[in-house]
Amino acid sequence: MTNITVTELTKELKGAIAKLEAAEGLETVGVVTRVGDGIAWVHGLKSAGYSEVLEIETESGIVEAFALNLMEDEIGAVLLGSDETVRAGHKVKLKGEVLSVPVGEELLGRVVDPLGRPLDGGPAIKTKHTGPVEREAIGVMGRKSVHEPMMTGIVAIDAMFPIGRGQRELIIGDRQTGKTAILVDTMINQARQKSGVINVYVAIGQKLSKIAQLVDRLKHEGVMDQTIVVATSPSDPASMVYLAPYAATAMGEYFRDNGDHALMMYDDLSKHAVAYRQMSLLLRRPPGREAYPGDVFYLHSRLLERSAKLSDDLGGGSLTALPVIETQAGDISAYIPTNVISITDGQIFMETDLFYQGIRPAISAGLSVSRVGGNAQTKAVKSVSSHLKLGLSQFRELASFVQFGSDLDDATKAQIERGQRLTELLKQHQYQPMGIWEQVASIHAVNEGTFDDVPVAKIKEAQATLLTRLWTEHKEAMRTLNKGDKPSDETLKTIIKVAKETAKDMKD
Amino acid sequence: MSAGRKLSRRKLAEYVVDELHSGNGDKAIQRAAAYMIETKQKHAVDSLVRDIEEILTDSGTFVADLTSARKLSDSEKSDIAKLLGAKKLHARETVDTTVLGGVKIEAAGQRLDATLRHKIDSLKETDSRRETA
Repeated sequence: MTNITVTELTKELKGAIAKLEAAEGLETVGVVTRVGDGIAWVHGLKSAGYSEVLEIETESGIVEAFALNLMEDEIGAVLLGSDETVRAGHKVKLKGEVLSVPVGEELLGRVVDPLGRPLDGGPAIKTKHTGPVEREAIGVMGRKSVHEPMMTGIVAIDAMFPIGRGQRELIIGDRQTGKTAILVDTMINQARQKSGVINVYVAIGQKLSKIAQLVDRLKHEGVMDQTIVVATSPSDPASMVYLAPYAATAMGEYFRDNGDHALMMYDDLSKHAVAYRQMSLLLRRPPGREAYPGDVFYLHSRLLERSAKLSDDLGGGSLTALPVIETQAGDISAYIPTNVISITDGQIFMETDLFYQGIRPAISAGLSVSRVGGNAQTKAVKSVSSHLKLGLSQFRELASFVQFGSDLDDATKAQIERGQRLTELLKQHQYQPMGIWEQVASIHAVNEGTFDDVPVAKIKEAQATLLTRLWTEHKEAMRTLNKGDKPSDETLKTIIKVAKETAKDMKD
Repeated sequence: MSAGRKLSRRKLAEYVVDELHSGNGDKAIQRAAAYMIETKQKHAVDSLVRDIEEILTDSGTFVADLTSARKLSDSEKSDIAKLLGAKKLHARETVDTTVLGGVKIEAAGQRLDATLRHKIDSLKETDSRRETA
């Protein structure tokens, strides 16, 4: 303000006053009749729309809320903040817009709340654009079938349950089975493979210590620059937890609509359903199964339908979704899990038993499926992994028979031997996603039986040696392989040759 | 008006307004009050009054709260009635010097704040918003 001259100041003041005069007129106001548990009941405002923002005039400033229950006599509105300052009798105005959040590249590398306010102690975020929190999904003509790969860097997923850009793949499992670990590895892989995919991680009612740890890890791995973290903790009002995935999707849609590729990770939608149940019960909506309201299916279906692969006319961008659901004691037939399973294009099921057997990631080969990813699988990986899933499922079934100790024929024995090696191969340490060439070489070596004579305990070591040798001795071939095209016979022969040499060394 | 299916508040308000128009206002208000007590809706009396005021505006009768720094003259009040589009204006007047000047009109879910105090406050608000942005 120091450089402004008196004339400019007068002009500005006059302008501000003129603006006020123009805005002046009869406005519609309502009155808060009751308030509590984050819900305000408002009398009046007959012209309010669903999900429209209301401004409650309290002594300590404006508190925003959004209208969710439009009834004959009153409006039920959910407060976007604390209900402590709101009292009965306060006047309520319509803001004339549905809830929007800041969107854009300015959000990259930031940790924000569902309204786009920074939580990372960084400077205020000024974006050029805003996006509506609730938005209709793209229609049929605006879409294209999923055909580009979204590599997670996890061999078991990329080989058996490939995910394509624009797909919705559910990660489901009990607590502590490595669901978030898969998401983190996938984010790291996007940075390592320079895929250009923007990560949007939504922590829905997650412990703040866990979010802080995750952000630290992402920074450490150099992934944060292409990541937005939308965080809500268990102490946030249910309205914020409810809004988090929708707001984050609006942020992801910005990239999708600008021809880029974004990956949404909703961790997790079970907590989201619980927050919505709380809001619904407080809004006096009738409870249904497990006390969830009748529209709990629509809650998630309208969210996940916004993920899409856009047609070329619309820029060809994509929004992939990896929602997470936490089950209780492996029960995938509970209400929310079955809902989300039926909405998504497949699921990756994490098993507690496998986790404690040391098979990590603990992905169940029998219960997991990817319904559309096959067309999107990287050709290189597809060419070597066609029988992987069947082989592994058969092995797990046979393995249970072996426990009876009966005599086995040679063919079965061979299958079990191969299965044990395959299982070993699919184990993968956290934060170590693999590139395409690493996946192809490892799977091909085991599939062709070159590691059959290597003891099971030494398979991981053999794999590491094989990969080191291939990289040092055949760097160019591996670089070509990493592009994702179907490997040439020559490359496959090279892999087998080096694998045989490695196996020979391991046997000794 | 007998007990049985509970009447909605809006229906009750419509009944009172109908009776007010046909000249049986006092009786109707007494009956509505009795009904609200009987159906344990005493807490909703304020809302019912607002409902009644709102329905009355449809027929051109406005019940308005007027706040101004000095007492309003009759011509000023008739100007306000004209502004609201009211055939009849029942004003509840408050004189409050802290509004400094101008008038604030609050009637049945509508508000017009043309006081000097409001203008100054809005100016302050836009200024503080600009500073934080």
